[in-house]
Amino acid sequence: MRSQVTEVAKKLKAFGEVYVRDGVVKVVTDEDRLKDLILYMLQSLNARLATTVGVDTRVLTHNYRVIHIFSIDDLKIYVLVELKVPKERPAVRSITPLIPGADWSEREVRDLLGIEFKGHPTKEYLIRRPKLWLEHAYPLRKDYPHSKKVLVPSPQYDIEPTKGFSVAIGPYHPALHEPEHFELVVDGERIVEARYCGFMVHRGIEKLGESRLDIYQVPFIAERICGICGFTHSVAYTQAVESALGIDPPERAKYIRSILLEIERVHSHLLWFGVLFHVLGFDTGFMNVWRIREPVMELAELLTGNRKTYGVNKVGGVRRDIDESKVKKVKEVVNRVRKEFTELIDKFLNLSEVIERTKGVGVLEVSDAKKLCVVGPNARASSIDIDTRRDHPYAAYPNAEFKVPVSDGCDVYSRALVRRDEILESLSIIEQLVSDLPKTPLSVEEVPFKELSEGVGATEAPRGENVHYVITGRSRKLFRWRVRAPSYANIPSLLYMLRGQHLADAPAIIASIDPCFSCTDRVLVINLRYGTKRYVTLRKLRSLGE
Amino acid sequence: MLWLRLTYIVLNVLVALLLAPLLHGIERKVKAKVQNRIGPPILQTIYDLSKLYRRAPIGYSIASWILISMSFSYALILTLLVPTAFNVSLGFTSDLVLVIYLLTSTSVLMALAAIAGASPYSGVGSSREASLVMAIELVIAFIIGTLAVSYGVFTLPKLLPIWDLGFKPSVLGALTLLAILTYIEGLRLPFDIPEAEPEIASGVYVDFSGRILAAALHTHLLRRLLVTSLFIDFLLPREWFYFKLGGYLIDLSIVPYLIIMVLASVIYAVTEALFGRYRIDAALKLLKAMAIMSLGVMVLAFAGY
Repeated sequence: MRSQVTEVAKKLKAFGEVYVRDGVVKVVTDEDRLKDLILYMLQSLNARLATTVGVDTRVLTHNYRVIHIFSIDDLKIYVLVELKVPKERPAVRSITPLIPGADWSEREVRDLLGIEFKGHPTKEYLIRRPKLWLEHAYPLRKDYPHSKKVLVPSPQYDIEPTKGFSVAIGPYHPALHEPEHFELVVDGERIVEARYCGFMVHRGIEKLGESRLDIYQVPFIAERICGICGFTHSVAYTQAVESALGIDPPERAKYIRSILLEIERVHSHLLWFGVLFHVLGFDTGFMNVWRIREPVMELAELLTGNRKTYGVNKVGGVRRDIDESKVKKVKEVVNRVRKEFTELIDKFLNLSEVIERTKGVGVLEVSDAKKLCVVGPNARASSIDIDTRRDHPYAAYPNAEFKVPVSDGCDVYSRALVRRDEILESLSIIEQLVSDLPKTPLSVEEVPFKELSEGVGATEAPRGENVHYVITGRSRKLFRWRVRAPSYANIPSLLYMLRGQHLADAPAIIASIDPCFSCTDRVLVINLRYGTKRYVTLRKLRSLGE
Repeated sequence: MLWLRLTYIVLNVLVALLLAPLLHGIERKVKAKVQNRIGPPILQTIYDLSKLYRRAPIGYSIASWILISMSFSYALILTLLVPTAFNVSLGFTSDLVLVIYLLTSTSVLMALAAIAGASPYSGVGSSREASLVMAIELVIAFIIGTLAVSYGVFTLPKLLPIWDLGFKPSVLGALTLLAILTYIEGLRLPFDIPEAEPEIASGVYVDFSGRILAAALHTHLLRRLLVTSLFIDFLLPREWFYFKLGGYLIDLSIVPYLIIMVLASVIYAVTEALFGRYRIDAALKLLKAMAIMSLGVMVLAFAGY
């Protein structure tokens, strides 16, 4: 494997300067050689775009940088393609015509850093902005203070009306648990065209990580990116920083991270099954699956002190240990969940209404899935065999034996089958790892700090590959932190799945990729100075609830 | 004894108005038990309705107000025609035509009221309701037609109960289909397609609020009750439960009626808990098959079997 990487690095030298570091190959190229480089990577290396990052490095090198992060799963490496962008009239060649999956991330760089992408097919903003957005307000630029107001709140958003009879799903809809907007143009009951307008919730997490917090505080906010799979974000972040700083956390910490990640996957997938059955109107399935999920949540509470796996990770290791009594409890719960889950799930999945409403519904062809760079169970159900746990081994996964379930049905049913098998694999991984916890300290004693060092951290979240990219700054702070949650890669594929389907199937199709909108929504700081401010007191809130 | 008859009729309407939401409460509780939940109190639907009746509607159109009121009054008229708790009916010659008309109209008016709202969800719900009702009422029309042809009468009170008229194969077929239809007509899962909460945000009901919503829900529950009552009426020999008390004929058939209604609700609830929602095309396919079967039964009746 190592010799292969060296060989690839040699070949990449034809396109620019190449730097190799554990698991990451970086190519600094220019616009003229970009197209050939991308084509070479796509055709010869079977590369898959993970995300695009824009960095404002004007204070360091008098230019901006755009970094395309590719995953080469066969070689177990990430390749960073870096382009320098002049600071006057920043513009760079777009790769979206070659890789449609780059669409969103390039537009995001354009909207938040003001770097134009020449040849990008879409002029529309990605980030939803009210009408009174300040001209040239690019919140991710370094000269933009994190506390500065960028907009005046206004209920009018720039969603253009579509032609035809359209049914809106969202921003508030019983099938969506977060504010997103799908516009479905229908002909009778059939969906003719679908449009997605997301990016409505602006949280400013990346900007906060780069400005107010230091590297040790960021894990607390990273795990709050997602309400379901927060732990995977804090692991991805800590791994990115550890890679940048050259730290290897102790084995026991790695094991604990893997165990908690798998617990998170099990409860997330069980939650997903519940949601799927609910949108299909099969509430008995929903209730029973959530009943099975409950002990897993209790287990999370036992191991971390909280039903959400918060506050365990830190740069260089973990904070909480798993002792013998907890190991026993983990084994008990794993056995119980496995027994109850296997007893019920096949019965539910074999119900005729469930089969009728999921088989052949929401098909994502293999070619489309590849083109859009989808990840996780969404990709695996379209017979793309990728799994970060196996392809970019991290934490304790090299020490566990597991299969990666793949299905070729490309439909909602296959996504359910893949998740069913994954739950069983995860339970087996948890069992293997708790029985074999190495006796080492929980974290490294001292965390050395390197300025301006970059790192990539990736984990296989329940929804797919989760990528964090960091550049360290000065005085133990971050210079740039970029988060690419899996739903960011998966949501664009929904539009392909929805076209031509029944309106009745839309909620099941949307649910089938297990979209996590809060992970996807992006970065802005909102300071509500205008408009009336009103605080709802706890008393008022209680009186409303009575 | 006109005053006694009138008392029974008034009682019938009152019992129907209260029993419909009560049975819904029982169904909710049983369904919750099947699903490992605690579930709401049995009186919850009555609480909900009484709260909604006291609230003013918000952002409604006059059209939907009128149409829902009509739909509700049609359902009330039906309670006068179809015997529920007591064996009385304001029936008249050929009143079965009116029964079919009123059953269809309550739903059609509901669909029209929904389309009068601005929301695309209620538009989609309305179109689904209209297509389902057409299919269901067609089957009901065939079933009632079969009974009318078999016995040569088109008046409801004369058909009740069927025991007295003697069974025929066509009648047995028609009653079996009616038994299944009492479930479907109630638009329970897997047929709750017009309201499909996770898909179209409660569809037909999404634009209604306050009293309008209460009336719409109440009409829906009354229809459920009436169709099941119609089926019970065909089979329940009510004369067995008549008692003479001081020269007055006291009708105690409310007791078996209530027992059967509660049992039916339990069966409906357990059935409902086992299903997911059909897509409209699958539901229509099934109803098409039922329509063909009911037509076959009617042909059988014409042939004299």
